[in-house]
Amino acid sequence: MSRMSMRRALWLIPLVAFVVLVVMLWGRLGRDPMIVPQATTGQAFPAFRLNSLTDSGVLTEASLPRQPFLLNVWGSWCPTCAAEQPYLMHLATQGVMMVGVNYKDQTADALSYLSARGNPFVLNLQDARGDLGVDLGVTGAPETFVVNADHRIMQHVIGEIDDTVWQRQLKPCLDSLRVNQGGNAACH
Amino acid sequence: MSLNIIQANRVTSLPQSAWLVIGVVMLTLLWTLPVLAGPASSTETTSAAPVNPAPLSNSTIASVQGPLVSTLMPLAFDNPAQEVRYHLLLEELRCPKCQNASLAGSDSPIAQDLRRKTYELVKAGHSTREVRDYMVSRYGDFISYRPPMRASTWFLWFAPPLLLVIGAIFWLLRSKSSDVASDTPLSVEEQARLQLLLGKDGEQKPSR
Repeated sequence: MSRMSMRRALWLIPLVAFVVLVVMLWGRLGRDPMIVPQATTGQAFPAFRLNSLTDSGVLTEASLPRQPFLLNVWGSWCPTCAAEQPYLMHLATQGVMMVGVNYKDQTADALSYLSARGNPFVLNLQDARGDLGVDLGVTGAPETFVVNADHRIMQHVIGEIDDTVWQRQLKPCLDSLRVNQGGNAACH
Repeated sequence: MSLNIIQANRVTSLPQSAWLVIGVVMLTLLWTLPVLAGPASSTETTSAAPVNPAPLSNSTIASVQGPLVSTLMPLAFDNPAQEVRYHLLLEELRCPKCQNASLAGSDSPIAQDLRRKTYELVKAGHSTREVRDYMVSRYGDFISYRPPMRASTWFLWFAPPLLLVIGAIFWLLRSKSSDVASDTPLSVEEQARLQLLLGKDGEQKPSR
């Protein structure tokens, strides 16, 4: 290889770098750039000690159902929660077990919200300070978790639950947990 | 006359390249030192308490609701160093909801909560590293603007200095090759051709 053609080859480097950059950027174009933290998925459900929203009881992690369930984080201040509430009511009538976490809310507001829109939850935790929220890796509301019978977090969905999310993510995960205690192949 | 220019170039190129090498080494060190020194910084506090804090008493901060109250509340620290660490952490930790704002720069509810957690952990004597680990275990690497040093992030950490080194090598090779060219005297044919070219256009043509 002569000195000249070697030089020519060196000039190709910027071109190649440019093409690589274009391909990388093009691949991300139009995709949702939102980064969703999922650090607690796969972890054991954090310990907690919170008041029940609907009665005077104190709830801990031992109060959680001994079967796979959905855990929904909501607040009366959150418009998206109100939007998904009818769908949660629908799931409750289908027999889906759900635990509600009333997140950073006022008791009176939360109770009137539930009485007006219905209460789809078998258990209502009151996380007024957001401590459980931080331990769960919650960034806001609504967020929904799938928890298995051994109280391990299997799935974390950020945002509104609708039929698409239920059919595509939550239901396959819950079903796989019900069929096989250890299996979580459908949870992603 | 043109020979003079080439010689002047060669004289100045030596200290230049030396400075370049020093600059590259310094920049590389500056870039990587904070991370390489990371594990050692955990000795800054002597607290051996586990990160998972005891249930936090509601008396530290009354159960106040609403963003303004918690933002404007004056914070008491045991010593100035604690306060400095608290503020450095708020700059380093990212608000998980806002995608690209630090805890210090966001007023979203979750940022307020995480500021409060940071305050409580710092006040309880936890080291900067322990607070960072506490956040990362709940929100992942995303929470920190300081990426951890591990196999999957080597490229991230070492690519910029590596590119700088490659650029420096390239630059040195280029300047060296022009030196070599100036050392070989022109042959009789080349000399004749040079005269021809100079005589034809009245000025020197750029070499190919």
